[in-house]
Amino acid sequence: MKKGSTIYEFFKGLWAENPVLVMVLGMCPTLAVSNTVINGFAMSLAVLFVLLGSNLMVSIIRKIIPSQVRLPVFIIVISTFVTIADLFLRAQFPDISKALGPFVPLIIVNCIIIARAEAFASRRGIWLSAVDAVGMSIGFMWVLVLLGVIRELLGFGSIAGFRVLGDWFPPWVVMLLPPGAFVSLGILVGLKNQIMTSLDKRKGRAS
Amino acid sequence: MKLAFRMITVLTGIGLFAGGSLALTYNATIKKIEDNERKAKELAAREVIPGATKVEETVIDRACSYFRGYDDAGNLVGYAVLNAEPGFQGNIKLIFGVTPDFKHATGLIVLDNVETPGLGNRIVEEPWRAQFTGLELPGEAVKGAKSKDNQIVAVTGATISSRAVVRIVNDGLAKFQEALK
Amino acid sequence: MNLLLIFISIALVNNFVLAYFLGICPFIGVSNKASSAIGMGFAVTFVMTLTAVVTWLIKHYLLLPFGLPFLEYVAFILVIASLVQFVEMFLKKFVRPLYQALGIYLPLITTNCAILGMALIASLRLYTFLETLVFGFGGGLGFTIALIIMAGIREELDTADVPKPLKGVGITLIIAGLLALAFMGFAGMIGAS
Repeated sequence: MKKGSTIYEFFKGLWAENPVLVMVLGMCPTLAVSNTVINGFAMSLAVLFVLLGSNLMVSIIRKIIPSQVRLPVFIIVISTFVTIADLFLRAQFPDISKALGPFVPLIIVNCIIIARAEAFASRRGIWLSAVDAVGMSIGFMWVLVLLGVIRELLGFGSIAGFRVLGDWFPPWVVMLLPPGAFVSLGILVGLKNQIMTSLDKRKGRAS
Repeated sequence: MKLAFRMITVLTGIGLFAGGSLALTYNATIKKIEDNERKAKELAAREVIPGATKVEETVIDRACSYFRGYDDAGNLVGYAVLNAEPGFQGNIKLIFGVTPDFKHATGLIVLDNVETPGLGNRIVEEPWRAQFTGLELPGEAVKGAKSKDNQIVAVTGATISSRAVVRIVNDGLAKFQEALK
Repeated sequence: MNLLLIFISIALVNNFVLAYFLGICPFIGVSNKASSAIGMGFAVTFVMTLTAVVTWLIKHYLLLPFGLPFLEYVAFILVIASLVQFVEMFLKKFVRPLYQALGIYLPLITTNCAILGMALIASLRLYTFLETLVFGFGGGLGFTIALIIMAGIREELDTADVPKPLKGVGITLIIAGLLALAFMGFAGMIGAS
């Protein structure tokens, strides 16, 4: 995979440069809305919309933004897209909007978005910026959904609202609360590091 | 000078883009948003006032409002009071029906809560809430078994949440009666 | 009385970091040393209190009277970014050591979701001016408390034998989980009346 190629820029968001597990960005919403699968999924869709819009917009106007005002420009662009996403959710999907609560507007300060605008979209072309946005969002999405599956399964006995574990299972309510969120994410980060180390070792041995 | 000019132009341009697109989106969605909120409240109000097919809201303060319930013929059949106050983990928002003589509750629905799932959160469950249908007001929460008509049995292991619900009902009733004067 | 309740609620019972999941990034980033934790905590508390005041004023004297509620998010974040910029310039000039100690973390206060989160929640709950002020100040203090406790723990951890994959972010999160569990003990303090 060549750096700068579409394939690379897309897949890096999923693993090597995963925004949550590797770059440690966007922790707040990850912990807050991963209590059910649907919430995690809905949030990542909202992030996809905002990140795509923001990356595209920033990339399109990148040549005319004076460097000194780039942060205010990013902020205005991002908060505009977030407001649009929030208004849309509140109108069309009020239940999800209530479940996600203040974390939809908090996408504005989701470091993932402003980090991609600064590090990528303001320096690269439109196509790659779009690809970067989608890749990062999907990287965000699978972590959120995975956490959602773990927490919802152990906390409610269901996945995406469908009862999976029978009545014999006493729900681990703590998984739905902050302690469960923190510990699950901590373990996930640890697991990822462990996998990376093993993969590196194998690569080292093979060469 | 040229740089300053460019900075101002770019910022103004972006600002206009932001303001414009947001104003557009807002106008396109605000009706639906307000409708959603109003419908949810009215649906709940109609549910707790037996016989009501139409309700009218009057706001008391930022946490409390009451509804007049009318039947098809336009007769006043009861009231509903919406109130929100801190419970165990956070705010509990609920709506309960009241008979026209203010003596009994005619039902209760918990609209919003962040109580502990499996414990305090059980205040949303139908069998527990049903205790408020026909309950003499002002109410009281007790552990174990009830002995008076104005008492309800608290959720096992969630006394504080249960007591909060009763407190919110009683406070709401007081505000409502005060507002009607 | 209501103000006191709001203060205790946001500082302890519903601590921004441990109960509301706000301010996690700086929480993980700055909590490894007690001295920077205290400095960061105070900076955040200061910015949060100022933010509470300014955002309330902007909402009630600018946005609402002119019929622009949809500009709330844009206005709030711009206010925060400006306030942080101002604090940065102020510290650079008058409290140089703190400015240098905080380093990169100072501009990062802008993206601290705790600050925007505080402004948005206060706005959502329709708090009065005084209530918003107390909410902002209490929230900042709560963040500082959590940060200092975490820094103290992490300094001790330096001598402990943490499994390699969990070093850094992993173990911090797990400890945060335990802290959150501990802070849950404060729950009910408000509702038990």
